[in-house]
Amino acid sequence: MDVAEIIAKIRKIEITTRNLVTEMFSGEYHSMFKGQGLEFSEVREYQSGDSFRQIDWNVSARMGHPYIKKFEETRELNVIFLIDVSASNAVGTRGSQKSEYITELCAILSFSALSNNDKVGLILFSDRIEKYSPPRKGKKSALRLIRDVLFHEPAGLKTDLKSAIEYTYHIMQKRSIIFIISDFMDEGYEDSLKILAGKHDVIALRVFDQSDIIIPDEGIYHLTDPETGKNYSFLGSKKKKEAFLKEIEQENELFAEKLKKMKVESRTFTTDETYIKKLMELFRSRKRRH
Amino acid sequence: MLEYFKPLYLWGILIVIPYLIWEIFYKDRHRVRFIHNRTRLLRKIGGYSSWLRFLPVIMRTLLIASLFIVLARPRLAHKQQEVKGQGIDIILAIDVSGSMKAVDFQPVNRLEAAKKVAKEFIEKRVNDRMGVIVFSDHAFTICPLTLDYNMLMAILDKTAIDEEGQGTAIGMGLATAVARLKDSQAKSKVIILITDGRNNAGEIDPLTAANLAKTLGIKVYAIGVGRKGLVDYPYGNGYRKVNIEIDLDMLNSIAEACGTQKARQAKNTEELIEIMNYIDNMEKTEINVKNYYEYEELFPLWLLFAVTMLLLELLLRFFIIKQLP
Repeated sequence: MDVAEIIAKIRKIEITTRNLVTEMFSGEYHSMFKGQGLEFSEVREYQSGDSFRQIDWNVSARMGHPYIKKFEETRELNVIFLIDVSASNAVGTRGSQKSEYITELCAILSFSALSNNDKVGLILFSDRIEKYSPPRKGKKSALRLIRDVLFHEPAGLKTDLKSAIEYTYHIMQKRSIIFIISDFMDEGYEDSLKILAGKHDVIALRVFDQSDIIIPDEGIYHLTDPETGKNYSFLGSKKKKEAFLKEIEQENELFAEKLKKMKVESRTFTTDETYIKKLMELFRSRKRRH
Repeated sequence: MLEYFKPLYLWGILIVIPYLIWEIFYKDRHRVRFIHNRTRLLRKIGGYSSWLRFLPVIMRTLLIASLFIVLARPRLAHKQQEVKGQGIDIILAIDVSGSMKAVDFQPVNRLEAAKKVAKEFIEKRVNDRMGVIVFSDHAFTICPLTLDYNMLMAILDKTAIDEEGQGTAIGMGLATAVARLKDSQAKSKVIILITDGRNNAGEIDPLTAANLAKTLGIKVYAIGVGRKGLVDYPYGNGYRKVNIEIDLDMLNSIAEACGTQKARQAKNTEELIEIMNYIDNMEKTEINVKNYYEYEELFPLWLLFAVTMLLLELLLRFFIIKQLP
């Protein structure tokens, strides 16, 4: 992929998600996380153009001149995206590809965060830590983030959630908001997630492709596992489909239960449906809580 | 009888071996596949990779094989023989008197040896009418002149020693044989007389019978089986030595009278076979045998099979069990 293409793609994601952020999420995100709010910094002389609402009448009366009060935003949250780039994200059966969907999710959240003057950081992981960019402010860093998520060539194929979570725990000293975006098709990460959730505000966004949650009931499908590379020819049948769906349902229930116990908020997305509604709902539910 | 018009084409079937190897060990392993994150779960549900994916391949293999069979052109050949020229008439006159039980001939006794040799003789003849008479103290026609060799064989099989017979009526046997041949129109008429004793029963003297044969132009081959002296003869559970006298002089005179100069003596089975071969050679008949074959072509069936396989494969591939990708 050449540079122009990359830029075009990033641009496209930027535009679509930016609009969403300004139009729909602006208010929602802002009140999503509690911070200290505004803090008084100084009193200075009124200049033309300043809002008269900001005038401090006490000081003005004493000085005989109009003075205004300046405030500073003190709550600068760190928002960290912990994104799964293992081979299981290369699928795209219906709608967009899983990795693209994840990028869009990430873009929306980071633009929202930036509009709120938060810092965004990124950790890409597979069975190792693929990339770490520390939290930064500014539109530029958001665009870089999109590029990294979209075009990073992962070195590992498998998923190791546990070590990624532990890495995040060690590296993030300040209390942050951590979005884990993955399909969570892994085991043994529960304990470290619990520890992480104790320190930070962790939100799990689970992204599935259609093929991850549903299978056809007829025909032969030649499949390969992206993480292990093992081949399998599957003969579909109604019975097998039922068994599969049951298995998936059980797994989802177990997952939800697990995360609820750890007090980690979680949402599940499938790539063929829009994420807008679910994100809004997520923001609102948090708003209610605070 | 199944035969192939061009059997070399059958080797073409071997081409399915590399084809199958390619399909199973190369194509299946290198096919384009969907990426699927739940293959482990699917394997848990579905077990091994479905072998049904090879069904179209199997059908195509059968298709290829049957096309080569079609090329080889299998057919059923129905042989039809037309025999020109008339054969001769042969009567086998076999002694079934008690003395034929003597075990100096392999594998069982003299009679069994004679039967065996007679059968071999019959097998060699083509288009000759043959009959069998047996005699002990009387003579019986057990099979008149016939071309049905199968029946002849069956009857010979059933022939057994006449346990009640008291003596050997060679004259009677010969006369009965002559009677069987007297109306024969055949160019050559032959009696093969197999005996091991001397004429001691019956109303007709062997020489009289021989003269009768001579007048009717019948050749008589006289064969004496056994030799002079003591031979093992079954008695109770064991054997005892018995002197069976063979009247070679009389046989000689019969042979002399009937145009075969000399009677032959067989001391064992091999010699008997030799004598029968000699007679077989002496009595060669000139006949033309023409073989006609009527062929029933089988390739349409195979072609039908091939077309069925083709249709089945297509049906399977595109409608019944679709394979993706």
